[in-house]
Amino acid sequence: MTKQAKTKLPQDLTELLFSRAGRTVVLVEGETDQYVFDDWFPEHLKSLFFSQVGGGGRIDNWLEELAQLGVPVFAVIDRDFRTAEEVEASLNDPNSRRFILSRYEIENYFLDAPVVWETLSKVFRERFEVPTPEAMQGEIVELCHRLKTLAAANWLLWETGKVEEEERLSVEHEVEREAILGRLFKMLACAPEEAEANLAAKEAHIETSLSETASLHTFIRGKSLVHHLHRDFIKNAHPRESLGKTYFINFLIDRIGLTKRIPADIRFIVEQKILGLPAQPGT
Amino acid sequence: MKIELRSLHVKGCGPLEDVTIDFTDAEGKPRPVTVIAGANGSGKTTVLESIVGLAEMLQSNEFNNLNNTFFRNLPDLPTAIPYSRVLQEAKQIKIDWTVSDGGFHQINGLLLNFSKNEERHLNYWSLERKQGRLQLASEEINGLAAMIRWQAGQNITSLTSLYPNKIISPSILYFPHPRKIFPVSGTQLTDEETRYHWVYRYENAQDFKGSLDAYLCWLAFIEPERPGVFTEVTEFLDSLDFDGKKFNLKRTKLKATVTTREGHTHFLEELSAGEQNILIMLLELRRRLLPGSIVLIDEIESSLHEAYQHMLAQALLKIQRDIPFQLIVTTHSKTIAKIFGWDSVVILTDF
Repeated sequence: MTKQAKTKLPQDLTELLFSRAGRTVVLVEGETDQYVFDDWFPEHLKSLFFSQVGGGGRIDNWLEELAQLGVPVFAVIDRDFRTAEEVEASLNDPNSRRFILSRYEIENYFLDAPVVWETLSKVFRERFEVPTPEAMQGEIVELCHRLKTLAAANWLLWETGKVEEEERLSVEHEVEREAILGRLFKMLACAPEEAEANLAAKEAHIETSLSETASLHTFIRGKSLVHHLHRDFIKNAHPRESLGKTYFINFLIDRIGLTKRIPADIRFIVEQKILGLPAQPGT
Repeated sequence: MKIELRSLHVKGCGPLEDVTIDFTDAEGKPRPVTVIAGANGSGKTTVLESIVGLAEMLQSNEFNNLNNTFFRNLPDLPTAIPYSRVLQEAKQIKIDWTVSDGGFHQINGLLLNFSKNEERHLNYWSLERKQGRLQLASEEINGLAAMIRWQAGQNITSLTSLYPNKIISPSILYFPHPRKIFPVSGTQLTDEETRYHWVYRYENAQDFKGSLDAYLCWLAFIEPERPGVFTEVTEFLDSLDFDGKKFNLKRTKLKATVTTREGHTHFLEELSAGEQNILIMLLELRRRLLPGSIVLIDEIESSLHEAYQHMLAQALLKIQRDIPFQLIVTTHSKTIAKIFGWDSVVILTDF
């Protein structure tokens, strides 16, 4: 039954309620997140409206505002550098409306070696030179090693609690250790020696996570991985082919949707935690 | 004279549990455009039907129940208006509107109230705000009803030319969904002069009378007496720019025709569903719109590509600049909401 006619609300809220049209709202951080959830759960789009809010920092405000209005609302947020305990708590708390992804961010879910290998093989056929998914896994692990200093620096910045997501170091900045250190101690406002020691500790921690497939995507930012994969295997390898990064990302996401390989933890959040459906056998 | 909706309160009517819809802006003035949105089955059409159904009662013969000499001296309307099903089911529907800008009854804060508790006994109250207090003032609503009855069925062109606009009562034009042009059946020409209706409801009628096809035939028929009437309308239709299509009449068949840019000719009812949708609304507004009226359009984007949604919305806004009216539409289209402005949106919700 219709109980109210809402008007004179802020524009962004009006737009969200307009598109929601009776569905449960699931707030996600960015455009890619929204694309992923729409693509992977088409059968639930009659009940769920995935809405991006333009960054994790806005999620809590939106959650509160919508809940106060009486809108059924949940949120799925990036893990960033949160601990495994925080992730578990968000999933196990029966009253939780904000669920934390198990991997660093949504991009990390479509960068498993078999998906990347299949996608690039399909696009470039015989011109794609990585012979097997296992070899692709080796390439991705190698890339993660190259990105570990960047990840470690961002972890330190994250721990200060003062640095907004957009102010963290990204692949647009140097990935060389010395260059990162040079920026880091200024951003942390500490002595270079202290920054160096802290960075080394974090690098060591990340290093251990890279040895196992399960934890490969915990610390290394998916956006950075995509950037380098696109640069190394598309832009530099096939300079005459103009496959943009956005298309590459969409191909990867669609590949998972088409082959029904939706990651189990994401399916659990959407189907059990949000929709309250019974668990499927074998999940 | 100008009639503007300020709010509508509906209780226990279809999917509407107990809802008040606000048609005013942040300053409390009636909005020129209101876009009503909501899920399927949330009651968007019921909102429009409630407005129309309640307004229709003002022109019904039952209004004679009010013992008023004004009414006794007026002829009955040609046909009794059937009460809307929506109204019969409702526990309460209440409209708060303002009638202003001249006319022989200056009414502020006019209120219509219908209550089912009173066993189909229809009551109308107009409340007038005097020195900050609401007082019963039923004479004003009687006056409006009398005016509506007096104008009913008169030729609009004669009405507007004989009397200055300010003392003409505007009307409520309602375009339910779906909208379709039905072909004319038969070759008998009928009188298609545009008459005044307090409430005009576009109908997908499969008979001769009232069809746009018949209207164009009629205009062509009377053009020798009134030079230019047919040409003006076909020029208006051509100006809508449906990809260069031109409108004309096949006189031997008494059928309006459309000629494409490539030179193919077909009948009006063979236009695409979206083109028919636009054509119906814009041509009907051209025929019937009086200044200060209220126009209600259900599912305005029906069958329209985004490009034609822009075309229709811009055309309506242009008409509104020339002939002021209050526009209330329902939609599922974000494009429509964007064009008319997010601050014009009212969302029907279940919370």
